[in-house]
Amino acid sequence: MLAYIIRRILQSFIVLIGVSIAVAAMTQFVPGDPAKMILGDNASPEALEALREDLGLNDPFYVQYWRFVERLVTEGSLGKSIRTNREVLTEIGERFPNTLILTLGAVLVSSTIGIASGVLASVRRGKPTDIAVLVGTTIGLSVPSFWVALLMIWLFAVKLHWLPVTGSGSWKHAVMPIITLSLGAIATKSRLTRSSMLEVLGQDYIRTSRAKGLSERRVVIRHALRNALLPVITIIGLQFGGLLGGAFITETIFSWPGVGQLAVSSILFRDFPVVQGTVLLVTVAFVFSNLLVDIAYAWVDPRIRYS
Amino acid sequence: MSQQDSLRSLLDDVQARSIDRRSFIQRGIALGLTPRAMAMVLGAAGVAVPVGLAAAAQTQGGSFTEVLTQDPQTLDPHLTSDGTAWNVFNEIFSPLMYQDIDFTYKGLLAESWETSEDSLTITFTLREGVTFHDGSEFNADSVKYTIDRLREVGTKSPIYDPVQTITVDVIDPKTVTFTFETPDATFFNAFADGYAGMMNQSSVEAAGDEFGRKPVGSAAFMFKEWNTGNSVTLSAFDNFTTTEAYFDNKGRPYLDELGWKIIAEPFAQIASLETGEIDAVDLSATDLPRFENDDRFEIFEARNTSLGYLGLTRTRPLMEDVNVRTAIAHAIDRQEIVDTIFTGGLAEPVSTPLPPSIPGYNAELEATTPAFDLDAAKKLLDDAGWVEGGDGIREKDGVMMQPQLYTTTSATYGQAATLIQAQLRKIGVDVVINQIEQAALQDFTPKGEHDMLMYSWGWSDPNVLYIFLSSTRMESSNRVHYSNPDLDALLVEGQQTLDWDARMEVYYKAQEIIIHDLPWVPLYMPITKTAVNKRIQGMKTFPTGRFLKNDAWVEE
Amino acid sequence: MSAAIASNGLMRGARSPRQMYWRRFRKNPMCIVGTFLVILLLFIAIFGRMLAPYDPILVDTPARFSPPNSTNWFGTDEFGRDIFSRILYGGRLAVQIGLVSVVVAFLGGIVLGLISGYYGGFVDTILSRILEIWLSFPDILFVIAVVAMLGPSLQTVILALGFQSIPAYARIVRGSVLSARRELYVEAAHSVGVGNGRVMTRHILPNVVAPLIILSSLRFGSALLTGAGLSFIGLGAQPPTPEWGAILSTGRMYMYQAPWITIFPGLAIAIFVLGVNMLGDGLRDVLDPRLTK
Repeated sequence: MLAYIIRRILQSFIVLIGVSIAVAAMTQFVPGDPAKMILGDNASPEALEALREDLGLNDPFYVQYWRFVERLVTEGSLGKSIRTNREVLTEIGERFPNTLILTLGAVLVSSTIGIASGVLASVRRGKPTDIAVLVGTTIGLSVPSFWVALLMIWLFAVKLHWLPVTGSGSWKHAVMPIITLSLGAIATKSRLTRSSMLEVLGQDYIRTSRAKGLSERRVVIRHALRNALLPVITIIGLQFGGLLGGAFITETIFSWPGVGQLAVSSILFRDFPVVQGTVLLVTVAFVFSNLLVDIAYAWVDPRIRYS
Repeated sequence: MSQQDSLRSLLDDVQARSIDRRSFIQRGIALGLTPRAMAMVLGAAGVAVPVGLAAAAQTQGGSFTEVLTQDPQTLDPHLTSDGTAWNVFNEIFSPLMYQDIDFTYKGLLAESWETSEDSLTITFTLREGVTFHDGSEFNADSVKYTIDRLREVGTKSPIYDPVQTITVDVIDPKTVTFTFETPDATFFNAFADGYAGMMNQSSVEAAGDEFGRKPVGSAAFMFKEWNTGNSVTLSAFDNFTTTEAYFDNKGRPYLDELGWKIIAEPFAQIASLETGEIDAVDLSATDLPRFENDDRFEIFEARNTSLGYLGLTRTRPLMEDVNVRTAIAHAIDRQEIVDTIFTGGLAEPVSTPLPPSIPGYNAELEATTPAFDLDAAKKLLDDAGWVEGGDGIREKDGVMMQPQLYTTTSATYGQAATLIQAQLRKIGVDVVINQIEQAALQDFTPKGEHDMLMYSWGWSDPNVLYIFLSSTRMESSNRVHYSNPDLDALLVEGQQTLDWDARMEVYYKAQEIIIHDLPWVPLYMPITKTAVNKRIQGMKTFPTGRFLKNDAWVEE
Repeated sequence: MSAAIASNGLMRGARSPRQMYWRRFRKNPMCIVGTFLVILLLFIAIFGRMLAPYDPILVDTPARFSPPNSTNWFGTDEFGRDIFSRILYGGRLAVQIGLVSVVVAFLGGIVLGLISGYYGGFVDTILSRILEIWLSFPDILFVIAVVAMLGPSLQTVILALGFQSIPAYARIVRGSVLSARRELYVEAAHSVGVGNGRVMTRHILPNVVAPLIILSSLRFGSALLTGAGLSFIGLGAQPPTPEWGAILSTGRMYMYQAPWITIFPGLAIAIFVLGVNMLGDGLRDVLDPRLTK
């Protein structure tokens, strides 16, 4: 197992190199010029040219990429943001903890509610509870998140004064963004839990357990749930990575200074060093959570063995 | 009489006390002055301020919090062209001169100046006793250092271009000269601004790379805290003194703190205004009626130095015929655009290339522009050989009149484009809308593959016509690929004519050419209406909307 | 009684699987409701344009912001366009967005996931790394890049969305295959000399179809919602296209003044996401090969 983990970590470097080349190549093909974004609509051709030269944008693709690699290896730096003139690592470092709070909060909330309601639906299959869970979680999923976010602001901040409208810094600021992010994720987990629970509950060893006279509760929780979690874990891993970089609408509405917002505003601004940095960060998070998922597979399903 | 002239004669009358208050207010309204601006004009002239606008007892303390839609790029004025950042650093850094509300330039850190006869040298005498926020003294060396630094590191600054041809020499600690290669009529406009704010070598070097996060200037507020993506806070500078004529308070501001919260989503901005987390927000057409009737807030109004326009690319086959362009101009119903998208007076229809908020605007030219007239439009198209096909869309030689309109992903542009599409459909022109991100659009327009462009510009000097229509700007800002040697010559003349009235004449002529050739169909001038919490008292605004904060105080 | 029905069903099933499935389908309330809603959606997609009382892009500014009334059942928007007609026209686009992006992701995901999970070893390692690179490329950046390169259109966005969903499918398939290929029946098939391709399509694939149907029904809906999210930053359908997400997104500016602009497209999206999900869940029960109850 240890050897497997070490090998996976080594492989993840290959993924990181692949991603960084993909991003660098993308910056070549995507129309748009950081110099024009910096200098605005009224820039003269001379000023644009001077800035492009200054930023090294006139160099060929491989020269720019090599400069990136060189700086990363020798200085441990991802370069400077074109927009703010600050180190990319500083920019990301300031926002990453904010993003982590939202991501962990949303994964925790949605997993708890999602798995619990999924189990409930599976043991009450076809009954009103099952339909209620399906309809309830689906409504959460079906309503566009920005709509929910705006309604919550109106209710909890403007009318009831329970929570601040926007910003970050206290747990109160995190409540509405976490709910917004959780809503869609609950349905996915609930439904996958339900369907894989049903599958497991129909299998021989569960029937054997029941036949042995174990309590239904014990059968469901100790035997079925553990085995039914496999696809759910995959989804949690995917959602974790997705939320790290993909919560930009929620972050934008609540002015939550996170990585998703940074990534989107950087691509819209063509601030390529920051785009590169945020994508690499998300990649590290993805690779890491996928590794955890694979290890969790082995733990949940003893038939899977890695070597 | 142009707006500029009218304003001047109004001011003269006020100074000479040859006008009663009622006719002053009538003329002021006719000129588009806000009540605030009028009160300031009267105050500046030493005339009693109208009832209700009179100053009450000011108290020191409290804070005023505005909103920014995104994090400032940096607070180092030399390293950015970002308007968001400007809002903040303009309160931290003072330039040598400022623009008064009558649009003339007066000394701020400079006490006075003299322009040489050939207009190539300006000698500034600097004010004494000015200190930077870190206690260091402002003198001629600071001026030279600032301009030299700008020339060196300022590739991202909007005044990087003009500064290249300026040489600064220190005569003595209180005197500097600026020497130009050619006379530059745009110098004062460009340098009476935070982008040309003065800084001190020792302060900059002490901060090192972090100067943009810990700026040190000499204006009324000094940097306190910047919480990335969240808020920026400044605090009052105790040793501040100013000469700005529109302020009664020439010393330290009454406000202890000036803050900005960063909130992108308009709905969240409005919610924060209602909860008191921020004190001022620019209102959208939807929110305007609610806030106008809410006595917790006061509405400040300002005409933007900005023009929304429909660009027509003359180099494209569909748009090359001036009759087609004129027909399109005839088919545009500006009033419908303003009433539908800018409901509540958030814009004014404009048909001349320079809007009324900018010097060089000439109301007389309006009569020469193509008025809204569908029959005239249809006739022009018929005569030009574009005849209606079966589905109501015009065609000529087998080519359909289906111009490709490009614009950004902005909701306002998208709506304006939708309305233009519907309006032009009535004369058989079938517009296809393409909304692309701003970065992609900026890269796309220099290629000249778009027939139409829905866009706008913001600039406070008539030199804006050079920036957006000169043939030297084809690769960058001339987005409609318009080129006319006569206009080019006039626009250069405008840049080099220092005499005000002569300069305005140049721009009147330039606009006549543009109105004939129609590279732009001018559409509207946006008007900002800002709701301000009434706990803030004594706030003033510049006619173009910027808050003037030194007289403002908080009433708890 | 239930045992009798079950054995009856199994007996019939033994005669004809189709009859067995049909019987289960009819008895499943989720299938019935889901099917009804999906048929309604398809009906709107096909005939909506004929039923619409008005031209969905006809601008009539004097009539703007009319609340729902007898002429404009769902009210009018900021340009005076009839929202009911816009929603009817938008139905076809909704089906396109959901269907195309799901089909692209479904096919791509099955192929990659099966190969990766079944062969394992070196092939799995390489494919897994590629999927990781793919997954870690944020969706929104990918869509922005594709739209910037290929030009703005709904079709571009749909394809980009589908393409970005492939790895999610592939991971699910791979996970299930990893588990399934050690099942007794697969080993049995191998031991009697059944070829790889046949084992995959005949024995493993049916077992991973259930989670994929669930995922697809979810993705069908989330494609609509992601489309709305892209409208949030101005990408996606170009005006005046009556795409539901775009109507919803621009309507949010008028939430105080004219809530009906957002309520009706929001309901349309929610109802059909619900319908597709119910059908997906019901089908899973019907198709489950191990279903015994």
